[in-house]
Amino acid sequence: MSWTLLIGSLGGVLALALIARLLRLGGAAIGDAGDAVRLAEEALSGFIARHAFLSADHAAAAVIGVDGTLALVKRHGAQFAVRRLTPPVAFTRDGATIAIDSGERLFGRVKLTLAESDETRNLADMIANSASRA
Amino acid sequence: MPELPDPVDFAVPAFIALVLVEMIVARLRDPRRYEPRDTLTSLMLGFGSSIAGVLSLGAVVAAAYWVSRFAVFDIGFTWWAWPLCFLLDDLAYYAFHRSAHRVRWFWASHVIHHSSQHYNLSTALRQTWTGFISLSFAFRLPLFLIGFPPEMVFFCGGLNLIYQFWIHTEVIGRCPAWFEAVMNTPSHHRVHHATNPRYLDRNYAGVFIIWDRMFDSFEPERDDDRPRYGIVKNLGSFNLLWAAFHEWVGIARDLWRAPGVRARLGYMFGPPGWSHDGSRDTSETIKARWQAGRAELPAE
Repeated sequence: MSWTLLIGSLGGVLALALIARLLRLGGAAIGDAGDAVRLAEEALSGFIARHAFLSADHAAAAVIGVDGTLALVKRHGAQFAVRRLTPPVAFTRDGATIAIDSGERLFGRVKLTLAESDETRNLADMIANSASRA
Repeated sequence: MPELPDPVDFAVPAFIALVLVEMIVARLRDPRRYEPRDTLTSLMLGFGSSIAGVLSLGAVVAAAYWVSRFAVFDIGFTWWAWPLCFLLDDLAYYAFHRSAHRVRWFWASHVIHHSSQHYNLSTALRQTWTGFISLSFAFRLPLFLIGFPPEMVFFCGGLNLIYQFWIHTEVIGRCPAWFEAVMNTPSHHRVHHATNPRYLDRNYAGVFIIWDRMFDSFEPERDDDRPRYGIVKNLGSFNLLWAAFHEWVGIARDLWRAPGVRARLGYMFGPPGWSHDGSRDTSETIKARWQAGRAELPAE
């Protein structure tokens, strides 16, 4: 491999990434709670959802399984990434916003702002209950 | 002995041009087919893979020439050797690729190629940095032992790699039936990149799909089960280093915690997802659970 090819390839890589941005490619949103359920069930083998809490910005969701387990769905670029959370799950609550720790540094904390603070309280209770069941 | 160039070097400008064309098609049809950060990660992984390849090239070439000393036949650069070499190199690729999905040590390198949740031409360039560590070159050694000249084998390997570029796309639906029957196509390879239980660990072919048909690993793409791309546990991060090394980190963690030699061997050479206490999912357990779920559904 020559230096010309190396530098040319790097230039090509950066140019293509820039063009993808200029073309405004990407973009995704979780349509509704049913969509969140589908995403969780498709991603997690054996997971059967009971209820989904969808963030108002449609970028994330917490999905409760029939067995009380919790799945976290987050927008990842133009796709979605899902994790089955292992209790005890760390979270913080501030009004209608709840930040759930995935337990993985690179997956990160996922913030959900729910439509009503009652819903946030319900979700917080369910997360706490999942810990007590563990 | 002819001096043969690396055909991939000549193909790089075409790769870049075709990615650009596919991006424009995506803009017009479905912008979600590309994601700028995913594209940058994929292309930087490809760029790093080229550098890693250059760094390990000397050792790979030395191994090839050393093995050639024990060749059974002296084949040389005769005309009929070229198609035969290309065919057998593709069979060697099938063996490598199947192992890369069934043995975690090999998977730790190959998973990089599958870790994008997108399926586009930039995914084709998302290649490993650690192929040398996982000994991927060893699968080609039998060709040198048969007696094919190393230059010929490397050249055919380059052509094989170039062929596999264009099949990483959703732009092309199905090819003519005769072509789908013999050749690896975008449709067959979409199945390979999918995480749907039906599609897990299927269609390992490089150029010719005949190997999958012969060795019972073929699965056709279905319109009622659209492929979902990525890996069973998607990364959820565009971090370049994490994409390149996450499975190696996983192996190291498991080895640290493993109870005994048997478990350590399992974490290195068992199938991806294997665990000593059965607490994780392999493709077999996922498929079995899916099959059991289907069996419980009422008949239509």
